[in-house]
Amino acid sequence: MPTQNSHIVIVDDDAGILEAVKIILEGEGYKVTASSDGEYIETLAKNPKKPDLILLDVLLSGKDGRELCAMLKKNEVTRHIPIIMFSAHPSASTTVKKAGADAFLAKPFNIGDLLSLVEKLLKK
Amino acid sequence: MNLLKKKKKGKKGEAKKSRSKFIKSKTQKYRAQRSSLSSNGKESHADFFLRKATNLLLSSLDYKTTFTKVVDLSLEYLADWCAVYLVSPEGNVEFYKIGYKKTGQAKFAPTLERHNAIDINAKSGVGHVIRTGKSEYYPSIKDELLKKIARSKEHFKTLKQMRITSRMIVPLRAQSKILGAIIFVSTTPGKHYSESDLLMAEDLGKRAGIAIDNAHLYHDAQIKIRELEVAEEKLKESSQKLVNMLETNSEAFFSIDKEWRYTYLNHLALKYAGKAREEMISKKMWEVFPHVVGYSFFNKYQEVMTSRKSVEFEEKMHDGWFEVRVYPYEDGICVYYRDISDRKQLEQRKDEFISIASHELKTPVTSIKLYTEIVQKLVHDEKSSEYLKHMMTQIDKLNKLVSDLLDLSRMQIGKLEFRKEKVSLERLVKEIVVMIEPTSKKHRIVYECKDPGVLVAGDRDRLGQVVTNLLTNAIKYSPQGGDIIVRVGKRDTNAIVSVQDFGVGIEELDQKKIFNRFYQVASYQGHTFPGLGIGLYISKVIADVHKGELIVKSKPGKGSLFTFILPLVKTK
Repeated sequence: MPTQNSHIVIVDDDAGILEAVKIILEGEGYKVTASSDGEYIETLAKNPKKPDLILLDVLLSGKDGRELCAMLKKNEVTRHIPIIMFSAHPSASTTVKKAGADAFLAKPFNIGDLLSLVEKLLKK
Repeated sequence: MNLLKKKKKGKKGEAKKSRSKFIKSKTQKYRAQRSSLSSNGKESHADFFLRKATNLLLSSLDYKTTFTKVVDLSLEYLADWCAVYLVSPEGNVEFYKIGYKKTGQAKFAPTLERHNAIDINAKSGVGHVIRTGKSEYYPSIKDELLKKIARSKEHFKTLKQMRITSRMIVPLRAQSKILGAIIFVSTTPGKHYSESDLLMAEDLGKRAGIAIDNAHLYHDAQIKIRELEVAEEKLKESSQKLVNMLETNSEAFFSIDKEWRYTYLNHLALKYAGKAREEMISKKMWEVFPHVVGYSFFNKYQEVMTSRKSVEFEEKMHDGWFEVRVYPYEDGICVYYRDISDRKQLEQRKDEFISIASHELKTPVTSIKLYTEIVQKLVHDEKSSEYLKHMMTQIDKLNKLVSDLLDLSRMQIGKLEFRKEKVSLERLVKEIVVMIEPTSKKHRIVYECKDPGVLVAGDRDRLGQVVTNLLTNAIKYSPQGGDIIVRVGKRDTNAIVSVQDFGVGIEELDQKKIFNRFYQVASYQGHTFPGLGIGLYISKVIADVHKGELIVKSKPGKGSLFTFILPLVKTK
């Protein structure tokens, strides 16, 4: 499956990070949907257009990204979507794995790490 | 029989009789005389005199007053003139008292008193008697003797005018000590002292000596008793002060004897125990608290009880935190409990704050880092690229600081997580050396590895964090530049990574503290060094978690050698 046209959803409550990641991914040719809250994820099961990859922050305003991740991984229609979770807490790597995330990226990350991980998961 | 009038034929005119010549036989005779007289039911003159003198001497412990009375008694029964000399506590011979019987003789007294100085080294007289302890006995007096005694013409003239007929000097003796001397002088015409008189005078001298000695002993005892009383009062006062201090102390305090019985509990200890004093004193710990054995704090008490070495620890009890200090005390232990709940709460709040603050800091750092990278891809001119590279270096430094703070706060609450995997130290250290080397143009990192296959078990990132920290410190603390030697190898069952610099070094006093949280060597020869003072603390915690060690050898001005020791992975 070609990865460059893939649709990636990024969810982070920090507008700066959201925008930067969007620029980076779009610069690599990905189709990107940026969302600052978890609403997109909550309604994803009903959404006929499923993304190819989700980048999900652990701590969203008022929501726990790990719960959203677990919800998607429990649902038949969404469990196949690879999820990369990121957090400023390096130790969150353990809890995100429990929630079913496919990978963890510690903030602050650099572009190289982000892109290689995205590419790796899209190729799976 | 009047002994004062008793004279021996053939003795008259004898200038001086050596006491040794007659003492044995005459003493026996004197005793027999007294004994036979007593057995007749009549008291001898000597006995009467000595009994009266003894009563006087025993009547008071103020021997100086008593002596006045003894002199008066002697003037009544034994002498016309009587003088007393006493040895002072400092060892000086001091004239104490002179007395005379006949009123007409008063005119001689001033001259005699003026000539009363005693030469302790004299061959005869008071000084000689005191020095030797031997009496001097002059049954009759000739001018030659008076010339010998006299200190001046005036003195001789006075002695001559006194018409002295006989003279004796006896020591005041208590056991082997000579405490003074008494001079007895007769001026009664025809009256010469007999040997019995001498023995009686010597007897008086012994009794008086014992009385003086007793008085001295009593006086000394009184002083000692007073001193003891004062000391006891002071002791009572300090004991009371101590008890007051313990009672009003903001720390709970109790002591336990070797049988584990409570011997003392202050007010606060009773309050924490929720018991009355009588419910605990003299009772064994487990009689009061049946489940105490097996608790970690009880194990610590036991440790001090056997090792006799103090122990300090923190303990969560009830709803609070306590700092507990246990010391060996007498044959048991004493224990202090200090409530540190407020401090703990503050520390917790501080750690929570650091945790939140560092987390919040990471979000903008992530943004800045990503945007900087984006801009790096957009610009192509050399200068801009160079500046952006500097920006990235600073962002990474900032990120490291924030990461360290975050680690620290997690360590404090015991939430720092560690993975366990096999780690090739050689590969790990080499990677770090390659990563760090370009950060300093002034330093050359020399990498030496004698055992390339060295494997340890642990968290690769965390172990790398320690090596990175040691290496960045080596660069930081050798501002003049130069070589930094990194060695990887084996020693016995351990893997070793050492980092050696030739920089400013660390003072011995600081070497013990550099692994403490927030400790920073203030400055060295005017150099100050940036940082939070947590890198080595974190490294030490990481080493501890991996059952390893982090040790330092350093000399100020010569550089430092840090050695990171880790247990090797056991190979089959």
